[in-house]
Amino acid sequence: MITRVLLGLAGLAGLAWGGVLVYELVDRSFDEGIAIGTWFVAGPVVHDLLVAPVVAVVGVLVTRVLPAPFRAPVAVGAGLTALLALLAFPLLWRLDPAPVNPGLHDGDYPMALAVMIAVVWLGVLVSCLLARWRLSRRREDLS
Amino acid sequence: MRFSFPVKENSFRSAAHDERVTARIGMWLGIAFTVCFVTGLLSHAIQHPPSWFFWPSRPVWLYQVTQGLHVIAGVASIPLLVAKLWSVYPKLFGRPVVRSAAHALERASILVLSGAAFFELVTGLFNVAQNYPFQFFFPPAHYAVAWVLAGSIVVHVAVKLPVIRRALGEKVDAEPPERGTLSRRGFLRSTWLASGVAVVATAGATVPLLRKVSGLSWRAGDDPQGLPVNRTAFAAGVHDSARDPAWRLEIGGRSFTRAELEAMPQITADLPIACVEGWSESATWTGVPVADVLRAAGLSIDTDVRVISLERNSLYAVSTLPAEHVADPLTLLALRVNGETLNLDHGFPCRIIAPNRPGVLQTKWVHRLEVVK
Repeated sequence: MITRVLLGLAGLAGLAWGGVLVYELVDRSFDEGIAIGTWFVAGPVVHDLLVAPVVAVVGVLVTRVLPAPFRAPVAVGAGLTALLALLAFPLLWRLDPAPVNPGLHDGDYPMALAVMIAVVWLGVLVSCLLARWRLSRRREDLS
Repeated sequence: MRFSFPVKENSFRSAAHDERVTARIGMWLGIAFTVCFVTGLLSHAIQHPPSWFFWPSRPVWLYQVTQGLHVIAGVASIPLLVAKLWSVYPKLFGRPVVRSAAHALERASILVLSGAAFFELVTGLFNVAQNYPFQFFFPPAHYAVAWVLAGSIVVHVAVKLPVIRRALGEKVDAEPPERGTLSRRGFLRSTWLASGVAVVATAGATVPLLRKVSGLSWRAGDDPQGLPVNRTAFAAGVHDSARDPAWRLEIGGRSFTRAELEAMPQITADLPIACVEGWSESATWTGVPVADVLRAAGLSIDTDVRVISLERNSLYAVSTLPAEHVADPLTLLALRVNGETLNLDHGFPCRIIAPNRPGVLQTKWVHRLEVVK
């Protein structure tokens, strides 16, 4: 219990200091404060109302549509695809043009993303074939 | 989960929604965030040193490692955070919404925790891509919210400690799921896999071994003289002043032409440039130790030195070399890189390259050195 109380107090102290730092930013520029607040709230809102429901729906579809041995590889493949797209997003989409900095953020990202997603789904395909082969061998053993 | 409305806490049947899964992912997320927080505080202190702070000039690669870890741990946290939140998502539908004052406080603290976590990861990911869709200055906001995140994680651990202990004490079985797609162990392994994929896809920015496979690394492409440029001479507005034949290095009432600097004894050293944005690249630098320039100007080397660039109106046009770095013979006023004369974008006529410092403090287009009393 003492551990929990001490941890709790340390956490509250950290939170308070963070609050002071955030307050200083808001105090210096109210507009910046509004922008920080918006981005702060946007994360949980977008996640809880959009990302998680989409994950749930995809999960249900995967279980309804696919035979059991294929479900896990396809679900993992879908997750990895979304992850790679997320990582690529700031490199692919910009409000303002990127600063001209030779050697930075100037790779062929659409191609890289396509290749990585292709590798993921190749892995999914191999996993599915393996799962089917294992299943059919088990059936042969039984018969 | 069945499509039935309203959605309830027990609508979710996947094995992922189990405290044994939550606690294990939470533990690794906590470790990753701790790495981010500690390395971030370090980087902040190096750039804004409090009076008690000391940062050595050796080993030369230390900052490269700490800042590389900062960004890699951040990238690895992205799938961990999403998996963690998916694991506890059903709790969002728990009823009643508020059971007691303590429960209300706990829910509010979790909202702060997830808001801060997303804020840090999303702004960090955009920042390494030098993409700024947000209307605030990144470094102080990322720093302030880091404290909010650290504090709310510690509070969360304090609140959940009995659950964490219980959940980590139980084994995670691999029984095939009754419903859903993955077993508990399968969900955990998929999460670790996703973190690994995220790291491999990006870490080539600082890990040379991964350069060829990290397709989504923000450090890419061919760079002039084997080194990326983080601000061109054109962007810095020094395109003309840096090429002016009248350029002199001014220091304590003395001034040196580039030819005079070239005539002094030269040191050649392999040193990395390690950017706060997580990329790094080693190069072979040739130039005059800053300490030798100070001595040639008749000044003591036991002092901090302010480095002033030709660049105007930039936050990074001035840097301060701590005495520790001034005294290090590897702290160079570099004239050449990788066997060639420094080109304009890399800081011609001369630039600072010091061991174990953030790239943003390796001031280019140096115009004046000032002793700080």
